[in-house]
Amino acid sequence: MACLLCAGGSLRAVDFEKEIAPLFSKHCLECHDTATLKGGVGLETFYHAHLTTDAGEALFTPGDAAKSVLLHVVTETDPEKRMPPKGDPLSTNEIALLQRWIAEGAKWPDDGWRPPVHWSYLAPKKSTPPKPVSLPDDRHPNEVDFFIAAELDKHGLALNPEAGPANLLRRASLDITGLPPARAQVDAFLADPSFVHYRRLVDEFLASPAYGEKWAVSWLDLARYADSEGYQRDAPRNMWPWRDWVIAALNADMPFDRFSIEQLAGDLLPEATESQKVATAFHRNAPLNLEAGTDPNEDHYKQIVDRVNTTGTIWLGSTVGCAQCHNHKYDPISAKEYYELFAFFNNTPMESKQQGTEMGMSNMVHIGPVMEVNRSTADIDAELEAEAEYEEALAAIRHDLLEAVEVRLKKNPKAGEAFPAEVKKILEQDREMSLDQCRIVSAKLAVQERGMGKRLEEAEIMETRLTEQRKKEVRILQELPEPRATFVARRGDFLAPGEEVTPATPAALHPFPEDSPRNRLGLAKWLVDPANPLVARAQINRLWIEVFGQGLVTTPEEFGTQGEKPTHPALLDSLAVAFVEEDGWSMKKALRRLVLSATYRQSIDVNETSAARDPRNQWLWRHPGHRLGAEMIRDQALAISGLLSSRQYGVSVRPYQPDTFWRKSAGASETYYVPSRGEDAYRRGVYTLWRRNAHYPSFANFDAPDRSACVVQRDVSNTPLQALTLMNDPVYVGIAEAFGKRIIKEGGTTIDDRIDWAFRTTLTRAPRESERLLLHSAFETVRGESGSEEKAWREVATILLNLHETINRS
Amino acid sequence: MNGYTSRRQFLQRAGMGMGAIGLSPLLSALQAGDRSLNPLAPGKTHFAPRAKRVIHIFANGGPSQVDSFDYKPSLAKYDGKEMPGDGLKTERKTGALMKSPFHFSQHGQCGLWASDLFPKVSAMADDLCVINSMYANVPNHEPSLMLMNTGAERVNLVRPSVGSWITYGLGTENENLPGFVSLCPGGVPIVETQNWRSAFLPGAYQGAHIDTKNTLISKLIPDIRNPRMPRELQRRQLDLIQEMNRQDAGEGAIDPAAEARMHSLELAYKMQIEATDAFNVEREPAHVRELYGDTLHGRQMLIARRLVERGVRFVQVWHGAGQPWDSHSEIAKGHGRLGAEADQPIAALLLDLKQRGLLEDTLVIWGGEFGRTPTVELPTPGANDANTKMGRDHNHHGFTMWMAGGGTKGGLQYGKTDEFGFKAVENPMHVHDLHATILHLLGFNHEKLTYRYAGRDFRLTDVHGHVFHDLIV
Repeated sequence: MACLLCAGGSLRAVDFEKEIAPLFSKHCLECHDTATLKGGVGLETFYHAHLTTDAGEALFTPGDAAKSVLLHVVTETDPEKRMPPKGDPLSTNEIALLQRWIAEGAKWPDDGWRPPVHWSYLAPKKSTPPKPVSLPDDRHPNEVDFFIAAELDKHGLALNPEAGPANLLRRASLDITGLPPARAQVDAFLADPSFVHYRRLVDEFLASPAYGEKWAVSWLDLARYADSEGYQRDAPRNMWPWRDWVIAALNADMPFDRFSIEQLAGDLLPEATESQKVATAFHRNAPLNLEAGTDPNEDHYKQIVDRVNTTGTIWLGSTVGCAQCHNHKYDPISAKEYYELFAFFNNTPMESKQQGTEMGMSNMVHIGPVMEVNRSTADIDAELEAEAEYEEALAAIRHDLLEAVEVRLKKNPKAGEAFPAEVKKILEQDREMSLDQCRIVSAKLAVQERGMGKRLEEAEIMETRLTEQRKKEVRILQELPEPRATFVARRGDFLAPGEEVTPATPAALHPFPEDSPRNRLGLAKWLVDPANPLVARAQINRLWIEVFGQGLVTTPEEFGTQGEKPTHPALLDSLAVAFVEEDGWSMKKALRRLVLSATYRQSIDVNETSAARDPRNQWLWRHPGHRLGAEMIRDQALAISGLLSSRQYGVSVRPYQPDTFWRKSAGASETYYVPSRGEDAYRRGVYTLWRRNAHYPSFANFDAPDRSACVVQRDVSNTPLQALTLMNDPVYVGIAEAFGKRIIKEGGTTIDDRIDWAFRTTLTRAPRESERLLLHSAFETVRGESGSEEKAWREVATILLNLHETINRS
Repeated sequence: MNGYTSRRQFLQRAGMGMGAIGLSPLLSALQAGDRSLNPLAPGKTHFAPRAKRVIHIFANGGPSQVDSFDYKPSLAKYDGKEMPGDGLKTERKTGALMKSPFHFSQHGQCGLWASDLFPKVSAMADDLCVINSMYANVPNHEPSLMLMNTGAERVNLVRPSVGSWITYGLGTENENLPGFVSLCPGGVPIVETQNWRSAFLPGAYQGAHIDTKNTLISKLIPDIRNPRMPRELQRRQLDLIQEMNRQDAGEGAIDPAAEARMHSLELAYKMQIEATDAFNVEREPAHVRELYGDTLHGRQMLIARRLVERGVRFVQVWHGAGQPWDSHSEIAKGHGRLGAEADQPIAALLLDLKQRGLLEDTLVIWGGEFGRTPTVELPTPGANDANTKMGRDHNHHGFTMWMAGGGTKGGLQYGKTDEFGFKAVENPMHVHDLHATILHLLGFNHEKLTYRYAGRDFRLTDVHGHVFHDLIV
């Protein structure tokens, strides 16, 4: 030991440059240089050496060599674990040198190296592009077009001519409201297809209540909203009042900053209103594991991880999740900073606990905060309907049960004597049988006929639904009076707590305002601080995706160094600045700017020269015309057929699906699917019940995510199963039938009138002569064969609903 | 003039659907370099593949290795005695060593020791490549299923399944059928559709789940038939739709999306015919049906063969909904019944593939998400069944899987567990290693089959996995 201390031969201070850096270079830099950073350990720069490692530890503790990991790993006796893994171990002299250097304070002169600042971490700036040559004034260009046309110029391309008025109006209506335009709007626009008129109609669309229903869908995907818990049991949960909050907030054009703050921390606003508390259900949408045997603490940890990651994705456009287990390899978020963000969310009550034991299993129950919400008259109307539906089903069960009893008595008049006493008592009472009593009678007398077993289960589900309707509840966030301690979970394992941390935001981003509270509210305000370089860009990019199909940044979930660079950086920045400064975060204004642009208004036609230069249409020489989303395809078909219900809000509905689709799975409380009846079978897709393990099959087919995690952009796949859905799914067959009848009723008197009417109702535009002839021949043939007008119009309706153009924006 | 009364003219002009309409130069050019327009187009392997398709027979719930293919005479000798050494942790408490209720003997030229749980499969010993040294990470079903099927054990972590990765890599040989089919009778296994999801890979790579308990084709595949319209009339209707799509797409330059849609409409129609045929085992000659046996498992194994024969890339065949092989209690009875259900159909599949020359390039994999303890499970208050007796607990420390065909060495018994069959001790093979080896057999370097998502290149084996060349011919 004495020898070690005096190694080096003198008592002068260790010289980092001359003695330590060469030592690192010799033994360590093969794996721990700035390019490799194995295990999150870097020994080439001051910057990396002072980060924590992937395991969440500091490399050295200045002044305390014994506590320093760096020394531990080189002196490790097990050769399997010792550093360096290959080659000779450090010599005694080298170890002594290292030890002295740390003991003397690990002095490492700052070489000044820092990771280069990535574009998305710099504040967006507004700029004015030069006036492009390819953009005449009569196209009514706006700022979007200058940027787009400037790039088109550069690539020897130009905007397509403007789309035909009918196509354009259909496109705008679908993009803004999710539904085709009304006939009167189309007729008026065809009579006066001016830009001013277009702008007025865009404003009408933006003011329509359908706007909120359309735009809620992508927010619901981000918020991983569902009507079930997720995981194996996937039991139902009540979150729809929050879904209604989103629709209402969008329709009221709540500015995005407020929209964000209320959802992240509405409960912490001074004198928070009921609506602001409902908004916080946003982060209660995380899946909850109520599987028997789950550790509630672990699940709580997972939910907070989910909240941090979802928040990062939406408001920072970044996959911060990597830093859960190790320092973010490519972006300046350390594992410690991840848990500092985590600490902001770690102050909410536990969501679940183990309760009692049933059949030897410890049950999990939800115990998180729930708020009862005031009901509207619409809620009460829905309750009355559900009540009537339930009563009707129950009455039919009673009737059939009594008949079954009669049959038994007729066969054998003495059978009654053998009935169990319990059954006799029920049959002799002068009240009508309750559902429970029906169940007893059915069980004791083995009444199986007329699907009694299944009907009893269905009635039970209806009864549960009715209870839901009678009490409007939603899960919300609440702040604990005493903050919970947060530790770095080493390697993402919550059972391996490391250093304790307090709420803070990543150092590489804009500063946390000093006067802000270090809680969720402070965090929410920090996220929508105009100084945040990411939030407006990420939101504008998502908006762009909905309208143009592909983002200006094609990796909308990742604006960090691992994401793609924007195709039009100056445009993205200018839109982001305008969104905050000019629009005051108004999402409607930002959308309006996009749909009024000449870029948006151009036709979808493929021009061969342009296609050869830019086959993927990256520079937008044509409107990209992507496929409609899952909900929109069904909504549109319902609207065309006249079946669509305009009822808004309320308990999630269950449109028809095959009844075998929800399989019996252990513990799940609803195993049969009881379809909604009446108007509720034809509501807009946003109101469809979303069960994570089995979401609505035709939506799943058209790429709707299962909502078990935050999804920024849906796939747009094209599969034969989609075609099968549109051709053969009983829902679509029913829609075609309704449309056929509607054609007869509303489409005029002559065959040509009706074809024209049906075509315009489907695609807004008038049919070309060749299209009219084809439909005519189909009609004539089927009428000739079947002798039925109704069948013939159904044929026409089916053809129209299955066209490529119908399920696309064109 | 019109498509309905003179369909012949239309067909003359258009040929039979898209095949003869042909792809526009634009779409062909895009497809050549970019599979986003047609994700199921055949893909390129990194090197010559040994196997072209996979049938994964999933004995879900965890079949016991010491009662099937991992013979441990010491278990009989020390039956009822404490296992020496420190016990390994499994899900529940276990007690003394318990001998197998099944009888072991040697099979084939290679002399494979196997029990009478799978007599007919064991008779094929010289075609089996038995791995006795498999191991996983934890003794619980959900994470182990996720590990086996997606390479990532955290439930609800969004990761594509093995079948999705393979379909992503290879595309399909028959676009009239899904590239990846998951057969499971009576419902779904635990963690359900996560077992075959495509996650961030395009939706076309997702496994199509078929409940093989159904025998009617209309129930097997939803929407395969129109409830109202006979197929000939639908053909006519489809021709008209296609004609209108084509007209709308315009002369000359065609919108690639429109063309891709026309393509999939055509495929949907063909699928109605092809799928109806593929799932109809009645079309097999009587002697083949007899070989498999007229049982649910016989039927689904035969469907599996019909599917791979028609170019489906990856077929997963589950024993049943939930976790049937989970014999915590009465293993003699539980395993005995399951073995009797599965033995003949699996043996028939191997034999049938072999006779048709398909086994050469078809990889068959059998196993569960883990194995079972050589020790007896103790009744535990609070466990599923408080009266547990003569059963075995989950065991991820060591278990057995076998492969056959597709370039694997037949008649090989690889790796070893300890004296009692608890823990893999010789040539231990992790599930990641299995995945790496499967991908290798299919012609892929598992480190290079990647997909970019959220700014990262993901792969099935994450940062793990080694190819076990010893298993390969």
